[in-house]
Amino acid sequence: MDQGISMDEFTVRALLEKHHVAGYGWTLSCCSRDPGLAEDILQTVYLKILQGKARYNGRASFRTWLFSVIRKTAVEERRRSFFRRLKLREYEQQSQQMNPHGSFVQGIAASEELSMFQEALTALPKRQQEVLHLVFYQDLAVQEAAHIMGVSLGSARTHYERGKRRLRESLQGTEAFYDRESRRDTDSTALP
Amino acid sequence: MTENHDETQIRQLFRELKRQEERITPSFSKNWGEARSRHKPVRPFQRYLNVATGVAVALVLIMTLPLFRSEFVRRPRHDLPKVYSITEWEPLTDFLLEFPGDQLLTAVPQLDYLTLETGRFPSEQNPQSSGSAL
Repeated sequence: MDQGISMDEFTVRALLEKHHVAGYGWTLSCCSRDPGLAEDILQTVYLKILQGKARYNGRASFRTWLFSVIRKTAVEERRRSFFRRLKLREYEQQSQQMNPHGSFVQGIAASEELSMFQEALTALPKRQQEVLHLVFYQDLAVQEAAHIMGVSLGSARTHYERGKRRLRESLQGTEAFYDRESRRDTDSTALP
Repeated sequence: MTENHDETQIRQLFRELKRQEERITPSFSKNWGEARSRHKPVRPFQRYLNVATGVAVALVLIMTLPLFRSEFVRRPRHDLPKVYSITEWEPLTDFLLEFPGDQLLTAVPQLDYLTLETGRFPSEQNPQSSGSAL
């Protein structure tokens, strides 16, 4: 087990707060964009950090380390029993009933362009999704993405290239790309 | 459509997705607070108590193990049930296999000398006539 850097709770809290939004985005990507499950996973990650089960060892940046912990926790969560998943679904349904964020989720789904993009994204293999999210969404280098995913740089690059190609192929026929293209063209013609 | 152009498109879509998801991100204080409420720090005293209990149980086991072993070794041999060899052993229900007239089949009948001589059975012989003959 790693020794870990001794950090007081205040410092850890401050760092986690700084990366909370990015962490939530990554958690969503790790759990097929399920908001209820993402919240649960993020809580488990914070709990692991509080309990000292996950300790920052200072080898990588804090964000890279946090993202690795989130990924690991999400993988563990996926492996849980069927009954646990059922319970989580119940919890999710309850939280959606109580949670006003539910309307935001519907808002996202209402955006046709984005929902098509999300569909295309979730159709990709997990590794490709992960690397694309880390590079395009989190603005990380492929090397950092490889570190988070626990794969070699070469492997991450391959996933990145394949993912990009597949995403382009699946989006090219859809309106998401077409609309964007036509909008871009009209914008450019409108400009003097 | 160039590859760079596609990449820009993908990047823009990801940015939009990020913008949308940032709006639904739950507050940090809520998540942290819930994680804290689930966290039960182990008190040092409780930890010592757990360790002490474990050590006590281990000691008791270590101390009682030789007693059990010596008890087993000291047990006298005659306490052990007698083990019959296969030739000596008889099943408890063996009598059920016996026939009622089994003895008649296995035993040879004894005929007395007089019967052999006279050719008559004793019940057929007349004591008076036999007496007069003598």
